[in-house]
Amino acid sequence: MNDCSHIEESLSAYLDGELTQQDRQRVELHADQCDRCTQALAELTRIREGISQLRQPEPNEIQWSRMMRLTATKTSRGVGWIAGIAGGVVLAGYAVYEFATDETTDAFFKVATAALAGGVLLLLFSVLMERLHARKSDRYKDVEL
Amino acid sequence: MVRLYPTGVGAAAGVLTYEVDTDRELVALMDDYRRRGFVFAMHMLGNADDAADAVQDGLCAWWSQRGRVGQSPDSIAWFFRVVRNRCVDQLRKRSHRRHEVLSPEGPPDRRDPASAAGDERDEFLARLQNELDRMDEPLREILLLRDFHDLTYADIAEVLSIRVGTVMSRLHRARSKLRERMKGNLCADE
Ligand SMILES: [Zn+2]
Repeated sequence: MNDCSHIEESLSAYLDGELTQQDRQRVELHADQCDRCTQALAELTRIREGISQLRQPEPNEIQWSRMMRLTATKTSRGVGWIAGIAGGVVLAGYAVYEFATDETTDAFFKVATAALAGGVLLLLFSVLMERLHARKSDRYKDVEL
Repeated sequence: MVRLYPTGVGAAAGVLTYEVDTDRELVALMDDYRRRGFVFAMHMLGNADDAADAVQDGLCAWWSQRGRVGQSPDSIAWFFRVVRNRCVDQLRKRSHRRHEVLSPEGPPDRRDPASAAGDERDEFLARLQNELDRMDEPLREILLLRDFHDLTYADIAEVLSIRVGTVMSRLHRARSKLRERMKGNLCADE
């Protein structure tokens, strides 16, 4: 068959049902008389079916519950991280400052400590909420229909 | 009135919560999106936590766009495109490539147990998996979108922001290549 190469280019789209009726018929007419293209079609079909049967990964409960949220959990977590890190930076700066000057102010220390503790708490609470929610076995326990 | 996530407690943690008017259909649709989006993101990222993040981001975006996107059948393509963009962002942030994803160990699902035909099939699928994982990303990706996620050419075009003609030719190229690599495991000629 001299038009094999042209037909072969269409085999993939033929399998996907994405050809026009005219092109589809042309492929079928050709394949009826061409062993080479018939074989190509069989092999491509096998590959195509094989891919559809590959194993699919499943989310665990924590991942699933995270995906259940319609709001950016990362935002609150991000705020937690930033507050925590900022607090840590301030404290570190303070330590450096104290080393350098040997003079302290109590209020400043309290604010920095509060920022650090608050950030860490927010972070922990966010993770805790996620785990608590994931423990519930029913995926739609919170949905009241 | 449906509460998709408990209010009150969440708000205390700084997690804003929504109460939404919806119905079972929407819940089922989002369930489907979550499941499919997760598998898609896993294909791209190879890490389940990252994949869940990408899906969650994508779903938030989808949710806020819902009025405009509606529930037309092609909106899965819109959702996949958003998830894909999130994945690409994540991949840019980390330098290393994805690792093998679909079936890193153990036999594939849907096997025919305790039969020679089943073993042969598992072997074929394992080989297929292996070859697929080693393909260039654009080819691997489009094969999965088409054959695993069962998207139409029009949907794939939207997800990848390419023309339908490009989808067609790229798929042809991907399948030809995979067929070549699978020679010897395709027994159609025996
Ligand atoms: Zn031919």
